[in-house]
Amino acid sequence: MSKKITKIAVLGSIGVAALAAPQIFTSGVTQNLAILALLFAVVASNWDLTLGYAGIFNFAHVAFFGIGAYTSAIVTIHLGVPIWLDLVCAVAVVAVLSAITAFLALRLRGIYVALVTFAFVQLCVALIISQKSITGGAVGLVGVPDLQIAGYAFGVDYQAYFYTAEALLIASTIFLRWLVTSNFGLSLIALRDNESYARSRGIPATRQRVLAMVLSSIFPALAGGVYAHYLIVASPDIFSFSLTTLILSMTLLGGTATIYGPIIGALFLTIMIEALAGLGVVRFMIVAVLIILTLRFLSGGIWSLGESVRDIIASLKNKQRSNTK
Amino acid sequence: MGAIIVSGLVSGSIYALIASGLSLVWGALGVFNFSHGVLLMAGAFVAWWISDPSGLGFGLLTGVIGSVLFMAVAGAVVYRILVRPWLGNSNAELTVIMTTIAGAMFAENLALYIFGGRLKVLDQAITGTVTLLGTTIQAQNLLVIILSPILLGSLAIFLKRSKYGLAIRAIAQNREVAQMMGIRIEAMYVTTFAVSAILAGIAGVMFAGLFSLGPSMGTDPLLRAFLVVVLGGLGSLPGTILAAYLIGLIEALSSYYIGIYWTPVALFSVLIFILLIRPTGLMGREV
Amino acid sequence: MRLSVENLSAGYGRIRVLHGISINVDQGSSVGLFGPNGHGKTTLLRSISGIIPVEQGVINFAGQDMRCKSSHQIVDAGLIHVPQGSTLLPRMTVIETLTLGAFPNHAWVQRNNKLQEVFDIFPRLAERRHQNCNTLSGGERQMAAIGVGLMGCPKLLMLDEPTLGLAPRIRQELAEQIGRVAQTGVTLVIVDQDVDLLLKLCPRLYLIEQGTVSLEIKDRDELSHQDVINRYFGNAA
Repeated sequence: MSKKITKIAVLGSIGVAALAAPQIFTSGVTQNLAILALLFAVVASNWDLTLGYAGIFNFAHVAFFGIGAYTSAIVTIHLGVPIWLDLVCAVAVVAVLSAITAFLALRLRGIYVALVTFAFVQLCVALIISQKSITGGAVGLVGVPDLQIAGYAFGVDYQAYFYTAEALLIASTIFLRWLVTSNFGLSLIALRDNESYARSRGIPATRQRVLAMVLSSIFPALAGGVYAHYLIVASPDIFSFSLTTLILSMTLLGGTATIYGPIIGALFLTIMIEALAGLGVVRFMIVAVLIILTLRFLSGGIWSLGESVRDIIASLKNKQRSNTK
Repeated sequence: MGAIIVSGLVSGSIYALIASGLSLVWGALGVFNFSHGVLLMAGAFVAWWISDPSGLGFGLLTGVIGSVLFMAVAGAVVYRILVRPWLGNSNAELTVIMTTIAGAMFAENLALYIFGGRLKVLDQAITGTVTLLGTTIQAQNLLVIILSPILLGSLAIFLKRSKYGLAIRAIAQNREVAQMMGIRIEAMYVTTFAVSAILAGIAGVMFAGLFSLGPSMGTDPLLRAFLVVVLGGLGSLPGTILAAYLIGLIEALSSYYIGIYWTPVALFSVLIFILLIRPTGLMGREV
Repeated sequence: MRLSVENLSAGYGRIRVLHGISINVDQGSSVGLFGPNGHGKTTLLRSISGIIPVEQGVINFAGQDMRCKSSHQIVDAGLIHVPQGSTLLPRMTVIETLTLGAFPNHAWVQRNNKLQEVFDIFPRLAERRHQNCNTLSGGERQMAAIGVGLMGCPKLLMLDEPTLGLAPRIRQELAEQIGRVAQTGVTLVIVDQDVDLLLKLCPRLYLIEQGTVSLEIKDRDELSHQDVINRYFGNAA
């Protein structure tokens, strides 16, 4: 099969699957899982842009997801901004904040970026908890209205949110893949692998990295807004270290610098954590061990497993072809 | 005002112990240990389990001694499993962040599994109250304020005078030259981690004696320690200690004057301000 | 207490620098290594001191096989390498750095005596003993580096380009001091560009080119400087 036909076949089947899935998985529990997995997949795959491609450790990434959620919640509840427009607000606010954070953090090197972005998250949490009247404090802000189109509220059944999350993931993935294969993406990789050479070739290091951080926060902001609408609440848990760790696990296990990997990672982990619910906290110990094993032995993550399988199949095919000659 | 200063000194003392360990490991190995917080927690839990009647019941002194011994081993284990396999890789710094985060996740859930989520109480070394700077405080607070500088001072002397302390500093400054002097790099790495873990464990015991003991007790102190090392400059022990007490005092002052909720905001604003002027922290060097 | 290197091959990853090189160092008889840059002199020293792994060959010192030993074991055995152009330990004082040079247990017990010995040979270091290493001049750093090597109580001391980049006057001072080091009973292996220096200090010399020995001068008294230059540069010189 030629490459193009394969590509169309793959895309086609994804499209069909996307349309069909919400009709197939009809139980409330599975649909809920799916929606969460899809939204987390958006966050995890966008983290790959800064972590995997740019090689910088942006600890504030999940915070941008959270700020998106809170912005949506605040502007709809307190300011009466119309639905859907609040998502635009979420992106705007997050873009500005991520730009500021990027400017502050990326003047520094390596480990300091991680620490400063980490501190930024703590600042967010502190601010949110302190502004009880606006943000609902430690309890969270309840009462975020449902998304709706022409009077049809999404909260009636899960399907509408399911489709929304899918659409978001597809759009985000197209965006990210376009970015990483563009000159911009290449420049990030160059900076990551050999900064001094890249700089000497005229690539503006700080500017590219700031851009990467800002661009990688756009879809998570949208996802955050949808998340808030879906859960009807925006709570400070979203900034917790455990959620950040969880999403980081998805990115790492799935395979960094692939974009697709973290998506697989998100689906895999969400399903696994739910499936192993009976084990209680032991689940997370298992996840932790998986991460360490992956970092040690499978540095490409689950995605690279898939690539290895594909390579094995291809070499078997070649053997077969040469045998029949 | 006396109470505020005491509170600041106590926090500062604990932060200094934690942050020194982080700084030491960073200097010698060039990695940042995100599982340092669970080391603090482990030190406290082991001390509790050995000393408390519902554990082994051997009393506090045995508990603390046992904890120190355990922490030395724990530090070596953390080094061996979470750090060494990746040392020497080009992206070791980034990877070790992730492995130690995973390690922290593992340990915290393990503690949750073994000990449950309910907070425990660790005996205090000294009970009763004392009057200091015009206020009455728990005697344990005084112990912390006195003990911490003693420990830090010992650490400084160790690094300045002892053969192994000099070796650790040397490795941090020029690994290859250290190697050519006959210094056993691997042994020094293990030692550094062990010392770092012991400091964290002692901080944990102090913390538990004053506050409470639970599986996620290490998270907040670790976050504060991050502030401290960024402010003080990674790799500079004097800077780290100075920053620790500074942050402890600022925290105490702002808690009193502008309330608990605003205090983190104040702290981080100070941090961001300092970073804008001096990106490498108060006394740090160019990374 | 001989050092014998036979048929050594080593390099950096896929790049092989040494191609079956062999040299011999007898006790009490210093050896000089010279030759064009990038042809393996430093690599040879680093292979002997265990910094880089060896692909093939034998390294034998005082009857022991050094190939499988780690750097610190080699230092313990009395074979010490003084590296090239070193920045030493920038934020440690001269005396701290020298003290650390006596890290091996057998040297540690003698460190005070050794320190005195080093200060006798290098008075400048005594003057600057409480200064940080990064405040020392190039020549003083070189002295300190050699001093550090001495503190380890070496039987064989390998100096990598000790006079590199130094002004003639300092070079001379250093040459005399190196001579005094040799007089304390330490055998030296000296790598340097300055053939005159080597002729003064070393009874035996090797010319190293392309990762092997292209000329061995077993006894310098048999040759004059001009002869050596001729051989080195060819008769066109």
